[in-house]
Amino acid sequence: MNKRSFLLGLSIIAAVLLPFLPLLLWSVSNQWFYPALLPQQFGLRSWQYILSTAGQQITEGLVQSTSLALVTTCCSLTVALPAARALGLYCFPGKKAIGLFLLLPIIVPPLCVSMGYHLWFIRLGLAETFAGVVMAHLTFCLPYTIFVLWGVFTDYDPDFEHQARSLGASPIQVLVNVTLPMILPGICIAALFSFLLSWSQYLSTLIIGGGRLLTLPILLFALMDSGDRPVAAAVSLVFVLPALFALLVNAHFLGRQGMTGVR
Amino acid sequence: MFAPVTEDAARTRTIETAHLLLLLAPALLIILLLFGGGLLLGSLQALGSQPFTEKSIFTFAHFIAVLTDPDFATSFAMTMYIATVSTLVAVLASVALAISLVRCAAANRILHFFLQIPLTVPHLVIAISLLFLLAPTGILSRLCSFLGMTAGAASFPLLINDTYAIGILLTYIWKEIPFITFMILAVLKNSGPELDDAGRTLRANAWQRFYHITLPLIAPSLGAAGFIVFAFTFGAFEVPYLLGRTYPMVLPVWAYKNYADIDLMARPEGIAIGLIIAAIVICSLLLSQGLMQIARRQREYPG
Amino acid sequence: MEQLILDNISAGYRGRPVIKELSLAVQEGEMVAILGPSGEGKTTILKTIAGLLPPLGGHILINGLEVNRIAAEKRDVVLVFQKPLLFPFLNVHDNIGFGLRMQGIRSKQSAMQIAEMVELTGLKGLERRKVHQLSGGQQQRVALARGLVLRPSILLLDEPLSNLDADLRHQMRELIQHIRQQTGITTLFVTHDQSEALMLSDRIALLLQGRLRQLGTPHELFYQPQDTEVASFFGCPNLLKGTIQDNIFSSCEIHVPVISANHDQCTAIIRPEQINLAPDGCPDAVKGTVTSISFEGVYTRLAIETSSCELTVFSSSNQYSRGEQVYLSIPSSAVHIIA
Repeated sequence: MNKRSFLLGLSIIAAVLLPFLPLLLWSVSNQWFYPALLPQQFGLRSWQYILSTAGQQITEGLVQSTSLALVTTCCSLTVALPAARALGLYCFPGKKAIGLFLLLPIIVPPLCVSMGYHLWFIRLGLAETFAGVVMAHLTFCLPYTIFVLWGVFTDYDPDFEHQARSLGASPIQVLVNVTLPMILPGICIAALFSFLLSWSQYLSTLIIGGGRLLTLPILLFALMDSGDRPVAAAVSLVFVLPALFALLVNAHFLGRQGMTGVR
Repeated sequence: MFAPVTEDAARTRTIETAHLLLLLAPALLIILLLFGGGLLLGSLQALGSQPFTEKSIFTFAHFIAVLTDPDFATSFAMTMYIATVSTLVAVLASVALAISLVRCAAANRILHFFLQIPLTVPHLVIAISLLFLLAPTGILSRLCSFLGMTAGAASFPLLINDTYAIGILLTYIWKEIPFITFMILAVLKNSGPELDDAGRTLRANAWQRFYHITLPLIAPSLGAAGFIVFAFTFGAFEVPYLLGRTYPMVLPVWAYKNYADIDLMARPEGIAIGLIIAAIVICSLLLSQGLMQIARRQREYPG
Repeated sequence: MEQLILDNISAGYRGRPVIKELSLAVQEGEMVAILGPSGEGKTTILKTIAGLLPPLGGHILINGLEVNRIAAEKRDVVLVFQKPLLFPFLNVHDNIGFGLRMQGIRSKQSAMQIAEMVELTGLKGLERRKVHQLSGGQQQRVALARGLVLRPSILLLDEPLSNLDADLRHQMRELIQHIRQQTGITTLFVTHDQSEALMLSDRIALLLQGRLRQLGTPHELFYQPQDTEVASFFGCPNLLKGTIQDNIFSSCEIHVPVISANHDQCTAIIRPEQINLAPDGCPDAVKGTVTSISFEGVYTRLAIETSSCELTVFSSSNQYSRGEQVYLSIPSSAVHIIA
């Protein structure tokens, strides 16, 4: 690597890491009045607070966020896989229109849709329930999952399945032993994608959950309103950690393939 | 526009209609019900229907109230400004980044890893972090006063809740550059360097190779990624809510404020704003599709 | 006149040469093949000549001028890659016209030249097609036309026939020969396929282990290989160790008159298709037994065991059977001596 690309690399890493600095510093400061450059008093007050006093609430938020994201991801994968397969592998009339329709929720802000069906969710008893929020998240997690898997299936050659069938594998065996392993990297990306999207969702959770489902973003917003910076910084870090962990696992697992398409 | 670029193999394959329906039905049903249903029910409410009561009247009053509100124009302008500028900056930076990365990216896993980090960080967190960094009493302000460049918090330029929405723009740019970069890299890595070499031996100089080879090659992905970013930034709530000014409000914040108002009469107006946002986004999708078509036709050389 | 001179060129990636100290001069209008096994860095040498890779050592001269420091797009050569690498966003016509457009030639002026190339490469009627609507052979022809339209001094072809199936190979070979007749363009191509090299080229440069092993006409490489490795590369299995005394090569019971100085130890290379078979004995025939027969179309490959060695013979007749006794006569023209 020459000097120029070394500098480029260094500046990328610096730009990526810079926003973590304020969070880290605030989360370990007990006292930090303007205009001191560094906290006057370092300490773990905020961490103690979120681990003990508010510990139960934070844990609940973590569990709530995680289970919401996991259930949403499983649902989107199950529904998206067949649809993406149809779109990626085959040619049929109306494909363009169907594809566009399935992906349209990607660009239409979730806010518009959630506000629309909120009253009906209340009527059907889905508002302020776990299932209701999963459905709200599914509205835009599903299209993104289809988006990623569509690309995966475009590069996929179904002749591998035909080969396996002619070698004596049953359709189920083909699915388990051929199809899934071959598209596994794509599935991982799509899953991570959907997980992160649900994980960081605020407004639709608030509208449909009605403040009853205390996910981490909802807690974080409440904290920002209360103005306790050290605690907000610490919770922000807690909020980032699982995703970072998922990235690490994925990076190790997927190697160079990376996470194209994730946002 | 979102369809993957290479679809040659699919052209030859066919499938029975029944099987096809079976594959597509669950997804279609969910999107139709949740997304289509949401939009439809929203439209009904915005047009005056009051569900579960007998008082429904068909009216454009809510839309008219929103569109004639003197704040609508400023809100719209603010929202458009944020979405356009952050998308443009992110697109330009991503193209430059992807091109410099494509030849060395394969050799550099560490860089890839770091570039993926912003993808996993929720918008909310990065907005909070930039708030701590850029606010009048933020770390940057402290640094400036430490270095003697400013006299204190009051003389530090306003970067949060400011006229130019600097904080919001920076949040979006930081977050979206990796997204667009990876979308372009996926295309470039496949055939970019090879086609670039072919272009070199056909006597194209560096600028010509960029304009005549790289750009048309990445255009579909770049267009799709750029549009997704535009649509997202146009309809997002969290970041402008945290870092934006109270006036003019961006459209999504305004919509939610109305929707959550104690006065239930404001609710249909909130939904109407939401639908206006959706309509603007869909219209700009059609518009950008049309522009892409024209650009493509211009590139096809006559003769 | 020498149009291309490679002077002691080493080429490779990241400082590691795969081509070592190659020197080669290509005359104007000549067609030279660089032949070697797969994975020998033959493409690397073409990329180096085209300017896509800097040479690790040595000098490249085109039309007498050193081009080491000249950028790829300014060199008077065109490299046609093994993959067609057509620009997917352009149609056939625009792909062919790409290079002309890069030089700022208006489409009105380039139309003639493009039409000429379309004609030459037999692509008439396909000008408006999208790239993905073409067959493999057609894509290859577009790639060729796209390079030729620039009228480079030197055309570099990377495995021009290897991606094609038998029928298309034949067509493409004829096309390349036709183009040469029409344009007289100096051509350097690389291939791993000896028959491709033998058929198309005026001279062959054989690369083994990254070094130039032998340079000569196809005839020379085929019939007068420099050493046993060259001989086996060209598919000659009959290598006999022996001696030469008074212009007679002897290896056990085999004696063949040759014109050569005396050697105590040498190797004779005997082309299998030049050994004659006779069912009954003639004066200096060698007796042998047929141990295996395989019918390969134009000829039948026989393995024949004599009392001292096993020889492979290509016979045009397939009347032999396993275990049959035959007599071999080896004419002196079949023998090439390596000291």
